[in-house]
Amino acid sequence: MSDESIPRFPIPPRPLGTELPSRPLGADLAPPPFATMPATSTLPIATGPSLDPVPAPAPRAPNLPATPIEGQPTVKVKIDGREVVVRKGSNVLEAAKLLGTDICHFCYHPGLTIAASCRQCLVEVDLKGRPMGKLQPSCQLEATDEMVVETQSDRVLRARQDMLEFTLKNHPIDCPICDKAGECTLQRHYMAHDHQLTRIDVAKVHKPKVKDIGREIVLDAERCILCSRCIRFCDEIPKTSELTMAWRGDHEQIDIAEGQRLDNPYSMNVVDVCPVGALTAKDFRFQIRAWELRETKSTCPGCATGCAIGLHTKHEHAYRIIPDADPDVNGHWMCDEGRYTYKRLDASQRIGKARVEGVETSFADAIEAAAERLRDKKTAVVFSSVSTNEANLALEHLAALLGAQRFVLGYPWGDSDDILIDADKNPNTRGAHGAAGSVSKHEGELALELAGRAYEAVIFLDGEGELSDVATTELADVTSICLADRRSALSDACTIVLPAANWAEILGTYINRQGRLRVVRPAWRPEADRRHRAEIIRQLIVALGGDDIGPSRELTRRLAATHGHTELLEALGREDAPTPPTLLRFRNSRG
Amino acid sequence: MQPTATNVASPSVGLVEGFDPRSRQLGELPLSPSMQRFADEAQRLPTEEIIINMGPSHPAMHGTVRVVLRIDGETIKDADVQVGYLHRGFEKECEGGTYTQIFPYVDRLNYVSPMLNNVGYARAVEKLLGITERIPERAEYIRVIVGEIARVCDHITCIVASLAELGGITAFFYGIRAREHFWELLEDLSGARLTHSYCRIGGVAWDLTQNFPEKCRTKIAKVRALVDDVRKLVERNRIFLDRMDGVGIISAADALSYGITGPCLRATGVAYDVRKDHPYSVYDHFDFDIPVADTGDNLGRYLVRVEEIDQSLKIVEQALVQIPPGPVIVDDPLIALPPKREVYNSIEGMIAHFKHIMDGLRVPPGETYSATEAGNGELGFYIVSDGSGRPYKCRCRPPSFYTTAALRQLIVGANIADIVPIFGSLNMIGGECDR
Repeated sequence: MSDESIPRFPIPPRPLGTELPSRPLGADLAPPPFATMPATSTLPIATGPSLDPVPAPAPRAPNLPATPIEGQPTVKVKIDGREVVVRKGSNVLEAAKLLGTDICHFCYHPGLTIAASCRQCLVEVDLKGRPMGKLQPSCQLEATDEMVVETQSDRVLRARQDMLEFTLKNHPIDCPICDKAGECTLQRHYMAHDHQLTRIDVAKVHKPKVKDIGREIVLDAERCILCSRCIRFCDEIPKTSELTMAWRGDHEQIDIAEGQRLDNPYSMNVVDVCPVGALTAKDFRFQIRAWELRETKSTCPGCATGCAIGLHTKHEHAYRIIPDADPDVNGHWMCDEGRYTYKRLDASQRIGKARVEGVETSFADAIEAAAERLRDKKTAVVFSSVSTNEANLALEHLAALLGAQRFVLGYPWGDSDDILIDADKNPNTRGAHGAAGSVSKHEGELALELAGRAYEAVIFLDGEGELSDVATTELADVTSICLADRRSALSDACTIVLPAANWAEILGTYINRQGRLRVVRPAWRPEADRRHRAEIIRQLIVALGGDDIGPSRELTRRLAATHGHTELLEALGREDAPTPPTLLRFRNSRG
Repeated sequence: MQPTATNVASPSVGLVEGFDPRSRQLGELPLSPSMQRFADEAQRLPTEEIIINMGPSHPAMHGTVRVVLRIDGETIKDADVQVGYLHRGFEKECEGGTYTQIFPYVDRLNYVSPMLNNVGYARAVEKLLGITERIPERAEYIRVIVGEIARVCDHITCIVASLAELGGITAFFYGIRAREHFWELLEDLSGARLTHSYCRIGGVAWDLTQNFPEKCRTKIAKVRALVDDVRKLVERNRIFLDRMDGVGIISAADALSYGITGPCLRATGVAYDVRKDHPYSVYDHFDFDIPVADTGDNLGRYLVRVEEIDQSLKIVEQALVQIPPGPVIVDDPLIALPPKREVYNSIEGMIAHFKHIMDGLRVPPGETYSATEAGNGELGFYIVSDGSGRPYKCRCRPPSFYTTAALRQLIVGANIADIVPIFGSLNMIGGECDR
């Protein structure tokens, strides 16, 4: 079933002659190269040049970290009396970051070109023994040999205070009603660097407030500190250039051309880059305060790109998704469509208890009922491109045990572009196909074979996915078991519904279009009877008399080992619980 | 610096002028011969030990403490003192609040002298911040004034509540009236009779009220008169002396090994007072004595407290004369809230206020222990900071916990009826002992 809760945004038309080759709706999806492994293979492999060529990740960030790269020239620079060896070409701000010194800044962003307009990052520099007359912006200054940098001298501290005073001169007193409070760079820098109350007693300049400039974004021009990050973003990433600086002097403000709208598919990134609350997302406005949210690093399940995200939650509710920096996959950005996938985690739709023929039962009873109806029956097993590798691999064992015919189901494909959005709207196509093996068939054939009474039982790994109406009606005649985390048309049509945990409640992995292993991490513990799909399948296998396949954590460990994902291996090695303890209220201010 | 100590139990000092407690005849009721034979037989009757509970809810015990007694007749053979009925999770609550939000919690530690807890906690955080020298002098004087008033209230409450349980209800009412005078004064100043939350990190919340010095002096006079009346009622009273003198004796060595401080320790002869031995705040500007007794019994503890009331009132009178004008909180928007005029009219004030309230004031990472002299002894705060606006750990060293530890030793061998005055004279405050 198509996911109606997620708005699909049209990709703007490309200039003539530059169309990407269109991919059909999955009907002739060529199996990935590794699908020639035998059907009872254990793990899909990935990475390496044997994969299909895929679009390059997000535009390469112009400002890389200063860590020296092997084989590339380095320079040695002295910052605050400490020497550090950095990559040649890195700026002083990044070099200081290597030493743990965070030089405060507003307009610098590693993913955007340098403007050096805010002047907050000024430092005192001696070059080749001679002091440079003026303070230099460290974001723009390239680190060279024989450079001595002072970030804590009196002149620098004074400059920081003065710059903040100027920046705050016309800033409205909006903190109590501003969304950014609690994660606002201006608040953070004021508390860290500027300890004085105001010296100014003239009225502030007024500018447009609450200006609706786009599908997703509201502009408050008074709060803007004119760092130009949003302008540079729109110029460089989606390359649509909707925003610009208008007016000059005291009245300078961010604006959009008359009649134009900020409508590109990456528009919500401007909310992340804006250091203050000038650009806010309509979806998030006034929903919750930033310090109440806990962040969990995870992966976006919106498409096969698998952008790294931070999922912001409070207790068992998700409130928003922001991109996490991953230079190999998504840079610093993500698309708006992916941000809306948090709506799939809506609590009102979650399935908490198992159902057998519409009647709520205990989990153990439901497993028993399912095992009974599967024993010695001709079964079809439907893998899911939306579920994790662990779930699909566990299902593979079940399919082998039952000798069942395999199918793969997922969301329908959509539009793509050459920045981040992939046409395949499923996060784990490669993983699902790898687990299902080369003899898997497609959903269209499932519909036909169901109609032909080919099977007596069908197991769906996920209630998500596009299943035609024909197939749904045919399901009424067979035993269908669905591991669903939320109510959908498919889960309603199935005989037995086993409550599964969604992607924000489990530790699991996907394989993205590049063949990389992407990790989803739990943001809260699943409630009621919900559990990891791999655990449900494991119990089902044991109920059917098969061997215990081990916990899902084991499957994750093996996948991490195969893919060489050291960070995940380390996380698994730690004995701490998969989810953090109860949130102490207000502990998480990131400002 | 040698502390000045005055032995109040020696015959020539203390009590009502010219009266010597040891001069009275110890009671031996003359019995008729038949009664005497009866008494001798009673001594030889077989008895059985029973275990009896002096439960957490008891009209004669101060606070919620349970003592399980094994008694033989009226004599206590063994006692199991169980505290913790008022444990409210103070340390855990502190982990969730900002440093300023902890003030209401510390108020409720020793709830008969809340200002002393406020001051003790504020000093610990100020030590961690490193701003102890920057506290304005006026703030220090105000802290001393209200702190000593709180100490007076604490001692009055202890004494007269104990007397009430011995039967001297009139003295109780006189003492409560005296305490009421001070509570009126503090309500005028802080808005609350008991849970003031008047201190802030870096000073006090606001300045003294307009006519505070005059009102304070009037109240001091009234309180002195009432305390004198209480003393005159009881200090020549046979019942009082019989029940307090020589009862509940603890030696100095034992008291020190239990970790007892405060009036209970000074009653055993050890002249230890944090205000004199580790002077803090502006206590070295005042001329006051440390009363010490050498008996270690209930009467000694009573006399030490009575004398300390007088000394504290002297300190307050001196402070009211010496107090300088000036600000009452350190002038730093990162530590103190900016004035409301700034908060509502400038973005800097708004940001400072906002982050101060929501994040708490940022204390550099580290740990510290800081002690002050509270009503019951050395009140310590051990604070561990992780650099954020909320303490990682905030432990209170409660002086009455250690005095209560000595309770078992004090009541074993005594009569059941002795538990009441002994426990009363230890002044265990449930809020502080159990936290």
